[in-house]
Formats: sequence, C-alpha cells, structure tokens
Amino acid sequence: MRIVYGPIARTILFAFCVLLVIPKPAHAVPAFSRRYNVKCYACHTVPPVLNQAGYMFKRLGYHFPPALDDKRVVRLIDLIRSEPAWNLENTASFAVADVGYTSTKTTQEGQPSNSSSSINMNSWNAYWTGYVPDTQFWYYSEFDIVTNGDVSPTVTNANFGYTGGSASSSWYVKAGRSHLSVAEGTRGAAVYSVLPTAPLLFETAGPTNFILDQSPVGVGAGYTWASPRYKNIVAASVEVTNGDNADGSEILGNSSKNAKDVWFDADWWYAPESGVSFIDYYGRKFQNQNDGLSNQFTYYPTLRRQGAFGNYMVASKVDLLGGYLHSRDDWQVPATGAPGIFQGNDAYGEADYYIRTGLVAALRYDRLRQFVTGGPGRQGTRQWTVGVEKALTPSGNIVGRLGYTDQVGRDPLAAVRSTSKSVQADVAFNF
Amino acid sequence: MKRSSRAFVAFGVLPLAAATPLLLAAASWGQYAQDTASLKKDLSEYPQNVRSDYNVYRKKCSTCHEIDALTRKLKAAPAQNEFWVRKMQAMPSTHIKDQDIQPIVRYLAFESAIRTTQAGSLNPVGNAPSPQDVAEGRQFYVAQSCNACHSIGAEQASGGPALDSVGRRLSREQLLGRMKALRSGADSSMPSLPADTPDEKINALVDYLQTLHAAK
Repeated sequence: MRIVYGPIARTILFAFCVLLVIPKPAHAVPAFSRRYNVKCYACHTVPPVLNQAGYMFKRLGYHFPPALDDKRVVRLIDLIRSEPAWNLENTASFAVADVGYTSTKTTQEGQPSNSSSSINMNSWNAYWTGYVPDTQFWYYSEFDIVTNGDVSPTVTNANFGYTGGSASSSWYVKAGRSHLSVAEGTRGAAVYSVLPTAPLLFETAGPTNFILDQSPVGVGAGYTWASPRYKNIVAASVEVTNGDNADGSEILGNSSKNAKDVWFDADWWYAPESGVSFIDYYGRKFQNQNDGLSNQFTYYPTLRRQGAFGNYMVASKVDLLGGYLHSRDDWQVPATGAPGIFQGNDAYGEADYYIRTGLVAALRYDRLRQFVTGGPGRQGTRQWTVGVEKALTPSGNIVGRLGYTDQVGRDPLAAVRSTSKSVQADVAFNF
Repeated sequence: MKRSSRAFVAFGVLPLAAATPLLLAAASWGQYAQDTASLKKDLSEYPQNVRSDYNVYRKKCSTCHEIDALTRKLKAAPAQNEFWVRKMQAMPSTHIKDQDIQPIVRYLAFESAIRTTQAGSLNPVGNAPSPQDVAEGRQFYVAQSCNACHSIGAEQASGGPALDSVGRRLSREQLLGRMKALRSGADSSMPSLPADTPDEKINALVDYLQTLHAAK
C-alpha cells in the first residue's frame, strides 16, 4: 500500500529544491595570498577548488608546503620561522563576498508550475586565520555576516589546532567548529566546485535531515605523509563531533543527545593533481516524524555513510571527477512506527576542462537512488549541470560562474515527480 | 521585526554589505603586485629565443607569481636562478619538468638583466639596455652569422662553444673587450667583425650576450 506523507513530503521536497538552487559561494582566503605574495592559483586550480598545494597547505597547519627532496627533512617549526612575519594583513580577510542571480522554474506533480528569479547577496564573510608566531599552533575562524541573503551573523568555523612533525611526515590535532566538506579530502571529495552548485550527494539532506556538507563542533586529528616532490601523498583524518539536532542543524551547545558522531577520511594523491578519498561516517540523531501532527513521535536513528571519491587530471587540462556515496539510516515509518531503513546509493561524475589559466568549463551528472521502508519503493533523481567559471582578475581573487541545471526526479517518501530548471550566476570577491 | 528595523536592514545594512566589496576593491586595486600582474606581456621587442623561453615561464611560473616580484627577489643573485627553479620543482602543483628549467632560468636572467640595468645599480657602462637594445643585439648576432658556430638553447651549430652561460661567465668589460678585439683584428680566434662596426652595435651585441645566464 502506498503511504501518502502529505506535509512531511512537501516540506522535505521544498527543502530539497531550495538546497539545489542556492549557489555554493566560491570562497578562498585572500589573507593567505597576501602572506606569500602569490596569486590565488598557488593553492587553487580556480578558486574555490583546491589544488594539491592547497590541500597540503591545510594539512600543514596553514603553512605553504616547502620543497621536498630526498636530502633533507624540513621541520615544521623551521618552516614556520622562515615565513613572513605575522601581521593583520596576512591573517585577516574582511570582505569575502558572493553576489548571484538565480532564475528557476520548478514543477511538481499535481501542483501548478512555479518560477522565480532573484538577485541574491549569497554571502559576506570575514576570515581570521593564522598561526601563533614561533609556535606550531594555528587558528581558523569564519564569521558569516550574510548567508543566502539573510543578515544572520554566525560563526561557522572557529577552530584551533597544533601541527607537529615535518613537512613530509606531519600530524595535527584540532578542536572547535569546522566545516567538514566531506572531511576535506582530494578533489573528488570536495564540496567546492567550479560550478555554482556542489554535487547533489553532498548537499541533499534526505528524509533523516542529515547532510554531509555541515560544520559540526568536535575534535579531530590527522596524519599526512608526502614523498619527495609530493609525488605521493597519503593522509588520514578522524573527527568526533556532537552531531546534529533533529532538524539537521549542528549541535552547538548542551544537548540531550549524548552519543557522539565519528567521521573518518583517508586520502591518496597518486599522480599530479589526482587522488582518491574514502570516507566513513557513523552517528546518531533525534528524528521527528509527523512533525506538528497529533501522531508526532521521535526516535533515535543510527546514521551511516560510506563513500569513495576520486579525480584524475589529464595533462593539466581535463579533470575527471566522480564519487559514490552509500547511505543507510534507521527509519521508522511515520504512519505506523514500524522499524525500517532509509538507503541511498548516490553518485556523480564530472569533467572540468581548464581552457587556460583562470577559465574552466564543466559538465556534471548527478544521480540519486534512494528508498525508505514503507515508501513507494526506490526512487531516483537525475541532474545535469553545465557551466563555466572565469577569473576576472589576474590574481584570481574575483571569479564569476555561470551554470545551468536541469533536474528531474521523485522523492523517496511520496514518489512525487518534480522537475527543476535553473540558471545560476554568481561573482565572488575575495579580499 | 519592527518597521524601523526592517528599513535599517533594507536601506542600510544590505546596501552596505553589497557595496563594501566594491569599495574595498577600488581601495586595494594595485596594492599588491600579485593583483596587478598581467598574465601576458608584450614581447614584440624581445628576441625570438627569449619569447620561447617566456612561454615556458608563463605556463609554469606566472600562474602564481608576478614577474616583478620574482626578479626583485632574484636579481641579487642571478647565478642562483637555477637553484631556485629546481627548488620550485620540488614543491607541489608547480608541474615543472626537467626540460622546463633552462628556459625559465634564461628568461629570469634576461628580465633581471633588463631591470637591474634599468635601475642603474650594476651596469658599469651606465647604459640601461631596453628590450629593443637586446633585440638589436640579437639581430646583429644573427646578421654576423655568430649562430653558425655558437649554439644557444636548442639552436644547432658547430665549431664554437655554446653561449648559453656567457653572460654569467664573463663580465660586461670582458665581453666588450672581446668584441672590440674582433673588430680590430687583434683576436683571430674567430671570424672578425667588420672594421666599421659602430660602438652602438657592439654595445647592443654585448647587451644581448649579457642576458645569457644558463648554468651551462
């Protein structure tokens, strides 16, 4: 018997569509560029996408990776002492902003079609990032002043840590609130894209209100090994976090959810600008069913995610990316409370063509295949996205993106068919 | 939210939030070298071999570095250019191959020589060779068939030593002395220069030779 979910399905559908059409800001941290007097391309293929140097920069506690040869070991403290002196200019970026235009036409089975367009102040952020001089302690904070057009000041990144070892064999520990970006692995596993939106499997919340792209509070540790000339980089990270509230927002303070979530990531850069990442997540959260109705109930599902992601850069021109994510969450059927599962098998494939420095064209295909026990069976969503990103300054700190997205699919709760066609354009200023 | 608060947000905070990035852009434009560097240069006055070296430099180095920042840093010790380029090769995301090193070194030396002499700090003759002077020197070099015996870079020649590093091995005085000796016939180790070769041509030839700074 097909169960009609009514308001729940409509709410989730709306959230699903909203997440899809809002562009992901194309942010970089310009203070890092000022510290070393280099252009953004030192760490980015085109902002915000990180290259191999940018990945190592983060792993070394936000210090530029030095030359690695067979002969000498570069201790991190020596690397730090050889860097430019700390000053506010090198550590603060006050206006990292993103303005965009979105035009969308959506249809939903049984409903009249809807179109909307708007010029959006997508974001305006300030970053304070740096290190304590002559020490291996570092800090990273992001203060979001405007988010999706709303003036809602919040700190989405506020963490500090310590990185030890040498440039070729380093480890770190950190604590605070961190944007995970799928544990921030190799390029196939990164949320940030040359297209205005990220791959669906990172941004889709699903019926249990869990999303990979989040900024939880917790502690973390990691280890990185790099061979001479960075021909191979192997890294592993683990994070223990508070997890999420029932509505999917991050738990920032005391909570009756005592269990902690665990994230694990392993990365291997096996060729120039090419790598693979594996992630494993285990957590729990409260989940409300039939919210607002007389038969509302709350249960405590276990959430699991495993994913494999990778990219291969051909001749420094074409980047082929892809990823697969398996989801399996406890699910209790809203109508009866009977136990079941939510399962997802989601994937994406993308090709980015770097026409020249600062200009890239991209094509992505997303595929979601999900079902819930007691639902209408396995449902799928397909999405094509095509776009172009161009740097508008020689240094790459101002970028413009233009993308077109065509999506069609059915949600796993009610199998309501919906389509969405949208044009998105944004310009990111990174100062 | 009260009406006055909505008005404040609508007409105060949001426009300020939208305008601030543009204002900061106007204030900071040109403040940092890496923000102003063009990704391409006008090479019409550069010798052909320097242009091909520049293409390698542009692909491998100017993606991240502005040329002035590099030559300010490297001019103090141009002989160490190769050391620094090899160091960059050992850093991530530079993608510098072994065959890229000498073209980059040559180009950096060429730019350093121009900028150094333009600053007037190291050229004992007191002239500041422009790209045009260097180009004229190259033209004279070819016109006198020096390249028949002496190779530079990938040029094929036989009979004389390669000149890739002559600017590093010999000082300006030494080069001027050799060229003038070839003009007067005092040096018979190689074909002479025409006796009526003007000093301007000799200087231009030496200006060009001084840009050749490869390690070997």
